Amino acid sequence: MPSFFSNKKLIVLLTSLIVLIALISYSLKNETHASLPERFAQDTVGWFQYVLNVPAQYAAGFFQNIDDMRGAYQENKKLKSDLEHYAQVEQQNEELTHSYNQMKKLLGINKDPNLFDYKKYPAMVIARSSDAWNQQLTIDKGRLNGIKAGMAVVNDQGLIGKVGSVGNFTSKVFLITDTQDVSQISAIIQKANTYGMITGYNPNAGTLSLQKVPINAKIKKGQSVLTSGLSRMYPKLLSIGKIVSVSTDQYGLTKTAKIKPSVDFNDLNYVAVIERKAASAGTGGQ
Amino acid sequence: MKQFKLFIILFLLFLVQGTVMPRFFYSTSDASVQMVPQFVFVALLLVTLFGRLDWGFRYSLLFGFLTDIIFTPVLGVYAFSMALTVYLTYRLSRWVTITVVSALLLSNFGLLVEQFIVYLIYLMIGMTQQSFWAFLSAHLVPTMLLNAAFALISFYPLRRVMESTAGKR
Repeated sequence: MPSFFSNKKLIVLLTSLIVLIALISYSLKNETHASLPERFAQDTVGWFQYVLNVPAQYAAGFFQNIDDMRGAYQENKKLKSDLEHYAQVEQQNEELTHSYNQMKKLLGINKDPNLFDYKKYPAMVIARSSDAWNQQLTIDKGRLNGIKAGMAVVNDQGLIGKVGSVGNFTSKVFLITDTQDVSQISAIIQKANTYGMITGYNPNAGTLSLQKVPINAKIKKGQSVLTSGLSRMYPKLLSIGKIVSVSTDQYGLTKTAKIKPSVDFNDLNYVAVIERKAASAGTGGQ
Repeated sequence: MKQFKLFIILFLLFLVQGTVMPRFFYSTSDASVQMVPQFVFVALLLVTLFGRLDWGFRYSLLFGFLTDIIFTPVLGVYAFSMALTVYLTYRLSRWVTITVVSALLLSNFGLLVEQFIVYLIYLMIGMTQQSFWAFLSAHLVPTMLLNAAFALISFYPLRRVMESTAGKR
């Protein structure tokens, strides 16, 4: 028995297990705060990733172009029909913005920032965790560019996630499809004008779940879900997705809905980090 | 400093794994086929099989931690499982002579063990909710196929690099 315990390798294994558990609990505790060596490694590797990303993107873009050409005719027809609609919507939008601003002036609140005003920091995706368990990106903008942890990240299709730990020149983005991400997003359902909470992602169905919707709310399949702006970091009206099914929760007190994200998470190249202009609810802004 | 060449190769593979591969195909967590490139790890297993456990062990710790820092929110999981598996594979490899076939089998065995350990730890700390069946069919099989192809392609070039570095010592 004594020889069993003097086995050097077993002791090494046990020690490394203890170190592993310590490291895991340490990093689960401060998820968004990276220590100095972590940030250093992230930034250094990020530079190389940035350099390699350029030719990789060209090569991928070439194949993408070939792929695009096949669908170009159909797409063109659809876009043409959309364009006619677009001109009308634009005029309407201008008209509405004009009257909105006038009314704000009348009320004397034209200096207040809107909930949906935001500043955009465009960024490029330079790396992505390739095991399917971690849904995480690295982007080429960091603290020196004004990025802070917790900001919303979007692409042209809608909300994709939030900024995690921030290095000097790079930052990590946690996608909303990350099952481990426990952050809740306050959401508004358009047309029904009802609020709810995005509480997590179901990888088996590929849907986000929207909960805490009032039981008498008239929500149905196909309605758009957007961020509500009633939170600390996210501005209003970032597109999250569309409702695919509605059900009542297990206690029968509220409704829950399944939401298909509006973003194609397979193909993320350019994103924008969003800093909201309106003061946070917690800071007592006007 | 003879290791420098190896380090450069491994680092390039690391960059390819995170930056180039997701551009061409990417597996989201709900995909039914999740091909996960683990090129650095496969190369490290081959290095170990060619008789350099010390390099394999050292670099598996280094690149394991790099993977943890850059691609996951939790430290240590990849470093632990990669280093442990490299050692286990080395112990196994002493019973066989290294040919293409045995190297392919052993590196795939190592990959299986590594992915399994990472999956177990992630399951325990709630980082993944993938069912065991989904892990086997959707994750493990495609991943092993992809990395077996990589092991096959990189076997001879890597052996040449190892022989040249060993010869100069």
